[in-house]
Amino acid sequence: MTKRTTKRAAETSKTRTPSGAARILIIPKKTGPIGAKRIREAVEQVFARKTATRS
Amino acid sequence: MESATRVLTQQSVFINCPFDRAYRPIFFASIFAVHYCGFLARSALEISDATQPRLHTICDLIATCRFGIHDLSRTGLEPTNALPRFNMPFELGLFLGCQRFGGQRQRVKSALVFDREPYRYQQFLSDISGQDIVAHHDDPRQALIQIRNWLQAAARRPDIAGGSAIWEQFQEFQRDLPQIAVHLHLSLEELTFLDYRYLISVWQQQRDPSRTLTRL
Repeated sequence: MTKRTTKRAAETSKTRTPSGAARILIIPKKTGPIGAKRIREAVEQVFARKTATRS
Repeated sequence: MESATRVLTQQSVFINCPFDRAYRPIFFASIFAVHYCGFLARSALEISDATQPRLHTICDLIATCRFGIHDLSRTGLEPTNALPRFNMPFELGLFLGCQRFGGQRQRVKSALVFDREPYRYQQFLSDISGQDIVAHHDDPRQALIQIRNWLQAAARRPDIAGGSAIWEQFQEFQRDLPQIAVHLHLSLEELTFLDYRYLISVWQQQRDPSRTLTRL
């Protein structure tokens, strides 16, 4: 069976990710007193633990 | 090539809301929804310039935000002094005035106005009757879903996931937050708006690495 891709479906894939979030994610340049690097590292560690727990 | 300022304006959502602890669940859900839908949450809380009168910096902030969320749900008498707080309705007025009198670029502004119950605003701000005022019933989930629906229509992004899906992801974020705070060696209370906003963006980036990053 031939898979038909409509024009709308093609446009949809440009504006959102497969999970349904907007394709674009804005990362603010301005951060507060904690600092970008510290926040990034904290989030990465939590996600690493979540991934390890799942596997 | 579009200027950086214009890009920033097109993607910015001014959140005009109470800053007290009780409102925080709605505020955090609002910031999450704005970033999930591909925008940048802006707030008077990011203002740190003590050399300028606060009103001037709020006006500058409003001028650089195409979108605005205005929550009137706390318009009422304060228990401590029996006086009303007018900041939210005042800033809504600034936003609407900017749209009306600010020139061609400001005319595309779009506002979402919240109250906690339908039609309550008619008792204290009847001038805005005829506008679409949305009731969130002090429920962060309802507020998040309404923000998603509004941005989907106002910004013409019909393909964003539904409000329930965004709420589930926000719940996941809320579950991760205490662990993130442990790694940062501080309590959640100590997070400023700027840090919290950055945290949400980075978390969403980790959660969905396929998203294209834009730094503004």
